[in-house]
Amino acid sequence: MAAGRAVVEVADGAVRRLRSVAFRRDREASWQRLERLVGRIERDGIDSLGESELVELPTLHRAAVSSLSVARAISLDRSLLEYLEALTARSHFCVHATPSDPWRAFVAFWTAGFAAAVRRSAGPVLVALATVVLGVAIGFVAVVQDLANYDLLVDPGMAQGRDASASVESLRAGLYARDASAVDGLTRFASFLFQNNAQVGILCFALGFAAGVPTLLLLLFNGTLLGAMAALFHLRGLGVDFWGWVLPHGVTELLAIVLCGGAGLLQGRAVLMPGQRTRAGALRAVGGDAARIVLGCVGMLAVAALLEGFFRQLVHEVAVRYAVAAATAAFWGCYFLWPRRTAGEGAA
Amino acid sequence: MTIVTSRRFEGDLRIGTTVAVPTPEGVPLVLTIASYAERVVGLVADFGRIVAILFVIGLVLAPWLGGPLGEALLMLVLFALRNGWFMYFELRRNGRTPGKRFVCTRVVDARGGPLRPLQVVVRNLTREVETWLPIVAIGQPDTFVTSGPGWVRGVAMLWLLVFLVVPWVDARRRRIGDLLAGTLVVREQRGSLEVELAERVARAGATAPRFAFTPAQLGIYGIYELQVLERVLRDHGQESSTLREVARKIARKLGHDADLRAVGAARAFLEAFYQAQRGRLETELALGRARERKRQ
Repeated sequence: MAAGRAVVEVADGAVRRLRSVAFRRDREASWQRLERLVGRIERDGIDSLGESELVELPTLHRAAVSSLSVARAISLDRSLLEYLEALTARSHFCVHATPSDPWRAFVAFWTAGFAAAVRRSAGPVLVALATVVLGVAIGFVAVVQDLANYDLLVDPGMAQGRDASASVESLRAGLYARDASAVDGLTRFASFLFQNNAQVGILCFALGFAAGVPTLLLLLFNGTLLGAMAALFHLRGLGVDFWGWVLPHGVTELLAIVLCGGAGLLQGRAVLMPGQRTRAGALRAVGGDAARIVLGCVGMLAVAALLEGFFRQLVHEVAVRYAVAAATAAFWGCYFLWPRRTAGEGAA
Repeated sequence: MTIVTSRRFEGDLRIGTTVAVPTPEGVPLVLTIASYAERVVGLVADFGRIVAILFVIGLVLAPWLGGPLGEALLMLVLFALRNGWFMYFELRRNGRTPGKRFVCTRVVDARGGPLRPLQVVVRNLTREVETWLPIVAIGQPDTFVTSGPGWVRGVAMLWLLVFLVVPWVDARRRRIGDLLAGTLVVREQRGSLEVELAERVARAGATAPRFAFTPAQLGIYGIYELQVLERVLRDHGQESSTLREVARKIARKLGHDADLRAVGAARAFLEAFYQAQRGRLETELALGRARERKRQ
């Protein structure tokens, strides 16, 4: 194509004609300025910048991004291109950083974000609730019909002496423990319960992507355990006392587990029925609400563990126990279902 | 949202998978996906730190460990560390935990926005299942599957392997948590502004030997060769034998009668050629018809 042109390109002359060289000469000072600022942010955080530097940063970033765009089009200097790619990537993460006002996010989450996410996921939550209830029914009926089933359903290590052969007295003592050693163990017990239940809740959520099947099994299994234990106490004439023992903290704890299960099922639904989205896209779309629910549930479980570890071992009046259970149920009912403005949604 | 995935190679060296992430400025960023090995090493580095902290706390709490209070505290610390470590650092350090800093990777939003707190929470809630569970299962199979015949245990173990295999199979090395949160783990890029090669000849002044090239001579090589030559010029000093070898080969290919025997002549020739060739190819690039590689 250049055969007809008699021009000989001389080295010295070519320098002046290279647009990419002039381009670099004009702008490299601002790149280096940006590089210094970014280096400081990466080392000492954004707070180490002064006011004027903070104003300067986005301007320099946009200039660098536009330089990159031009350089990609006109320059064949690979080292320069790689420098600009790296610089703009680094400054991008400084300019478009995680918005962090933890306190406001925290308040918005507990006053609005959590409850709204739960309400939006009413369907899966109800399915999770139904699964737990079904589990309780299965466990209860199975044990009432044949006490031998109890040992099949409840792992001996987990029963802590509440096995099929236990006497009425020992069962009653478990419900109304007040001796010194029991109170001494309370703190440890509460902390164990909390992290154990929180772990189950997180599992319910995390296993949801497997079409929700492990989540349903977990819910059903936990329900069966509860039902089997209730049946054991029922058969010994301690049914009322048992529920008085379970419900003060159980309302909060079971609700939290059901909600976590709902979060898992939300994902299961996204995997099974993604609609017009891709499966990954559908998962991402529900991921936010699912995570909100699980976060909230970890908080609920902390409350439940406190009730379980301290309150239950210290208060032995059945009527008071039922009153507390009713009060927590009313509280959570209002918390989730009370109509409110939705301005805070998406903030957390 | 469009994400372009491509694998970049240079010779037989794999540079890595790159993705183009859209940005608010409208210019896509090209990021390199962190490799599976980098992910594992980063994770181990984080776990190592967690274990070290637990060990120190255990030493501090040692006098009370027999009692219920110490035990309760230790259990809460373990829970908080297991679940909070990654969330805290990915939020406060903008996607970089200490382990990720160690291997120079970071978590980013796949759609080019800021990394939101919820994304961090989502990708770390599933971490429990994806990392701790397989570790526990491999370490203590009996606590994980308490009963059942051997083959049932085998199937359970196989199922756990899924978590380890997912990021290995996915082209963008996303684990389940990344899929849920819409995040990617990318390699941190580093680059320094090197000298402008096309200016060095001018600075060398009139004393340096001059070389001229005809349009036909500049029509042989393409962009790829130009950038290989750039690397050679940047990496080798004045009198390297590689430089002389390259200069001789290029002169032969061009049919150029340059005298390359003098001290520094090889480098001067290559720089002059680089400059002329780059000027020529950049002009063609602007016209939309630059050659990628030399004609065979």
